[in-house]
Amino acid sequence: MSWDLVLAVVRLIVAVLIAYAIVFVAALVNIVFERRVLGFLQDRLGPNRTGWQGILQSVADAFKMMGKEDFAPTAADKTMFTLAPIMVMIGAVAIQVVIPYTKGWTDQNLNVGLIYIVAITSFTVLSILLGGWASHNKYSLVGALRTAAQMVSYELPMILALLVVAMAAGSLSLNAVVAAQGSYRWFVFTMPFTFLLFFIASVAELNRGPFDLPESESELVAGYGTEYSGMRFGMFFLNEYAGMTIMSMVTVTLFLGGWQGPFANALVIHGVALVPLVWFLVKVYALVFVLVWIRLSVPRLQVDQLMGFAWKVLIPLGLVNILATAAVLLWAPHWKLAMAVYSWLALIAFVGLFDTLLRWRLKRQRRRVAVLT
Amino acid sequence: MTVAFYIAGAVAVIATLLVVTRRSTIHALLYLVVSLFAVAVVFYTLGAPFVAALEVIVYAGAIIVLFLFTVMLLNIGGEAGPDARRRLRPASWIGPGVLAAVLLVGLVAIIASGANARVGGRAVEPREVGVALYGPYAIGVELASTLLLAALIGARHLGQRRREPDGR
Amino acid sequence: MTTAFLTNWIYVAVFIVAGAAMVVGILLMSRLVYPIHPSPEKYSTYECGIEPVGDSWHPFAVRYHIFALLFLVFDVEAIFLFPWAITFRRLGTSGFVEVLVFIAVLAVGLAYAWLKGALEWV
Repeated sequence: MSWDLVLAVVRLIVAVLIAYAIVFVAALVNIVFERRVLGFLQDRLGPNRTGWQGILQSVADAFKMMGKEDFAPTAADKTMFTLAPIMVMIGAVAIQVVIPYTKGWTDQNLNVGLIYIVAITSFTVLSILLGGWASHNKYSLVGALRTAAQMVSYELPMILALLVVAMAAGSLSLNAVVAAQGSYRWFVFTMPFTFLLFFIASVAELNRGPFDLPESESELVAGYGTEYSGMRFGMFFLNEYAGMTIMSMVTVTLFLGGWQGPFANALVIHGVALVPLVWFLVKVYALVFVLVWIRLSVPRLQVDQLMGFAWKVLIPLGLVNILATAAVLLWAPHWKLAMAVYSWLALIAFVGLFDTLLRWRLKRQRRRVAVLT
Repeated sequence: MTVAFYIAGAVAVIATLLVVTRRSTIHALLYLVVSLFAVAVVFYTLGAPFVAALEVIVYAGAIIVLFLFTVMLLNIGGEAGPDARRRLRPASWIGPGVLAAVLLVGLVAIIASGANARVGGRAVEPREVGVALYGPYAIGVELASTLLLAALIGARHLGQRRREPDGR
Repeated sequence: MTTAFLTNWIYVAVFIVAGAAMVVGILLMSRLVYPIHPSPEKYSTYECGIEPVGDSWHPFAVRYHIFALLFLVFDVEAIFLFPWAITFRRLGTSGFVEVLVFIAVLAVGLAYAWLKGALEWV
């Protein structure tokens, strides 16, 4: 055995351990973070008894969860019932192969990185469908189908936004995407409209904020997780909260310049830079805060509005955005400036016209209903 | 590498035969997954890693979701009702499991033999796929879009027919 | 390049296996801790305290299936667009026109589905 091989194996094991750590720490931190931020925004306290300022609250919850009886109902399909939570966590761990946490971190440079992200996201859909179906419960099945329909519909605008990123970066590798955003030309500044499309779709993929229909308690009890208990439920829960951080990591990498920031080369150990890691985490948690903020501020959508928004607004806009960006990049003089101008104008038009169009449609609908009755 | 190619090819053929001969949809689905992975390995050994990745991604992602929807919602196969449980006994995993194990042996053979010995010469990069696809094979792309259009119209008609018996 | 490509996929495979192993480990660990007190009521299907009527594995609303089909079509479309997206500069005008036609054909399909009401969630 050569020394290089040993080193490669050690590196792989460290990468896996870091992926584990991120899933757990992110999930536990995010649960407390969300509850405290919600408390702060609603001018109340939130959990503050377990440990200093309540930071141990979710650790205590995790241990409690472990002590709960974990059973499958007699009617359930036992194999699939256990397979579903396993698959859901495979997605959370495996997506981190391609994420460049910091400068010099990823020595594996997957040249289909963007497509890989899409593939792993559909893993979650698969496991939720399996879990809901295996429970042999009507609430679970309806909840799972709704979740799958939602996630599948919002995956498309996300892919269409990713295509624009691939066009601007000229590569499917995430390292190349980060490199293309050098010297503060982050894609969020140069193509904010694409960022908006991606961000809306990613919130829907997380089943959070205004898109939390899978958890509409009054209609579906607990959705696809109705029959789950103990640690098997814990896995779905963990994935949901770790997903906030992981999705933010993807967004930061694609649009907010990844790990880039000042003093990138100040502290480098074994080729892995440490200062960029701080910038990366700061950006990620800024986004997680925004996710919590959105959840608090925006009311839940209706199911037909949810599907309509994906298919009638985001997907057509995503297709037009691809063609428009390609045209600008191909033919406009000073294409970098032209792309930014186009994208900002599109963003302003979208934000400005959305409310007006919605009001106009509502008025028309009301008029039609009035005529009918 | 040649060995891996033949192993993967054989697995693909056997699994696909079993897909079309199984009577219950869920068994066929399990064999289909094996078959798709085998085809991906065949592509890989032929020097098309990008196509192999797409094969796994499109099929494992979108198409298996669709098949699951179909199995769950439409219950094709006439085994609906209380009988449905019996379709999923542990024994149904043996066949696909054995084939998957054979495929795994093939994969290990690839890794052990080192990466450069491939059947179809060198590996094709995603960029080259793009240039070829939109250069000499442009007509194929446009035909594919027409095919997808047909699928869209078909999907819409499927929904239409099923909705009518409700009186809507 | 080939070696690098293989290494990448070894990473992916190891991460997938590691993800599964983690969950199995946690489930086994929790099994050591939690109490098991079986009772037929507890293990029955949850339906707000009422006995379940009928089977939940029965033919179901088809609209979910239509959205899955639509997703499949557009997913395949996106897969076609990815190779173009990374080479569109080199392909230039001809590539752009090809993609314009490609997207237009599908846009017609989407418009058709829209007008015929397949996108309505009733």
